[in-house]
Amino acid sequence: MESIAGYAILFGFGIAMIAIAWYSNQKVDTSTTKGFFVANRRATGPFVAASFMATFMWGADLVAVPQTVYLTGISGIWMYGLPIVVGGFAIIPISSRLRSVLPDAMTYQEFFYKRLDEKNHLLFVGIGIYTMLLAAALQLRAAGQIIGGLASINPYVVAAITAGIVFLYSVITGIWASLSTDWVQVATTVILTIVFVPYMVVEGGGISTMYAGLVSNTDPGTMLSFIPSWGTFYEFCLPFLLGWALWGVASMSVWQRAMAVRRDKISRTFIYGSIGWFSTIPMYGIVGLLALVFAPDLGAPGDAGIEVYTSLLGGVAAAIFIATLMGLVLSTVDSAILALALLATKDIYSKYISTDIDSKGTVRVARLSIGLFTALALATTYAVWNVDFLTLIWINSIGVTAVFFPLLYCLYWEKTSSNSVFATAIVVGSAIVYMLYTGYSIPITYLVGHGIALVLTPLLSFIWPSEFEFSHLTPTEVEA
Amino acid sequence: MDQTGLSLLILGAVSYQAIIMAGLIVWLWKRGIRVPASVNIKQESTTERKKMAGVVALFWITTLAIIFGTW
Repeated sequence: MESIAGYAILFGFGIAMIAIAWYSNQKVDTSTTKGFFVANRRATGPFVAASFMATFMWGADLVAVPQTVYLTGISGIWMYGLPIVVGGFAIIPISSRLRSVLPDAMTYQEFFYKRLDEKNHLLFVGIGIYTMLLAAALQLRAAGQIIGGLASINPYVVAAITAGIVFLYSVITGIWASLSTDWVQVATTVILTIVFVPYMVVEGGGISTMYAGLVSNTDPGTMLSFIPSWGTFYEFCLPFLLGWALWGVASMSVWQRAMAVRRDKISRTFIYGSIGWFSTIPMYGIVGLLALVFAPDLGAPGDAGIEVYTSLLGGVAAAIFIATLMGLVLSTVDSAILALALLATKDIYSKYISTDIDSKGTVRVARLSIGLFTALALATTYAVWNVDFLTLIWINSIGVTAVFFPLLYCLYWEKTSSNSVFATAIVVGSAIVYMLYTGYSIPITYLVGHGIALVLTPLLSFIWPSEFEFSHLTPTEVEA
Repeated sequence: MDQTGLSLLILGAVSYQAIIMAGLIVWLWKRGIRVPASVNIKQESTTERKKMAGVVALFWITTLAIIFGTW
């Protein structure tokens, strides 16, 4: 593809997103912090469900699912997808509980502030910033490398343009821009899968040709079975189940959606969103099967998806692929940037720097924070540009492991003490960094991390129990 | 998995996504993007929770049946 066409798609998509954000700004109230960041807690179920789907969908799925199926067969579909569904379902009881005990919270860090103390608050703010900054950087880099390669544009420039687009539309309407553009981004992705995946099957000669190719090129007993061997399960499913699956619980962008949706529809929203997200995975899996038929001897399995998209979609492939990837990347980056701005505004600025700032002032700080964190995300992207992609995913999950069990204990057990949570988070983080650095396998590393968090928090709380009562978490504002 | 199984997998995947998207669009059409300020939003009801627990159970039963059952 000519670079001019690539620029046209990038800027066209960007202008469309900014127009949607501007339009939604005319329809909603973004003058207060609650309106800007959590949609006054009045966003409807379907609006947030689609946004949640978009947040969970990301550029890597386009390539990683075909790659997994290419290596493992059809069992790769559920090994990749179901752990994330588990994470999506896990957010339901946790966010419902948090919104019930602390109705005015906008972040889970705010809960730690009121439930525990300042040191835990700052620690988990740090973990939140780390997790979201790296998540945004991962996406910007994916956009830079893939779109840059397809459209012959400098990858660093693509990453910068993508970050610029996110900044412009996020700064206009906050969460509403993110939610509205997510709908477009889901639609783009679904068009790729629901229209073009069947088209590629037909273009490849139909199901009978596909089946014949699979039987001749692979071992059908393994590759056409939903039951993987233990080794395959250990290598391809457990790392997701133990690490990445719980990303939803630590991810600030998921929490922002949990705080924005009307509280009587939390379960419905996240169940629909999780199952809806999962519906895209078998479609990408079919692309992996097509790769086994038409490119059975690829030296780099990571190219399986790209190979199929380019050979079976013809000349329009690159354009469709870029538009879809833009949708996937923007939806995740905007959520991450907004979540970071929320943390900076509510959890840092208005708690430690200017405690008497009014709502309008807070929104101004929020807009400035969006600019600051967009720049920081771009700088992080450039800083980790040469680090292996999969390694980045694993180190991003460190924060997840440190958060999951301490948060559960704090939400449900009154004796959970601030020292126990703080010590656990430090020990878990250190253990995981050490194990990843020294080359332990991913499942073992996360199993150890969760094991420590599961045992150490209650153990230390028994030694130094807290006298906390949940009734102390009195709301500071009246919930509408 | 034989050829019929592969056909069912592909048709099932396409239908699954089509149903999900259609449901989402209809749901959004009915509910809009935000709840009016005049509406008093209460806690999630027990009936809603039970209904949703049923949906989750149905999802897992169907998924596990497909994985460990037919094929």
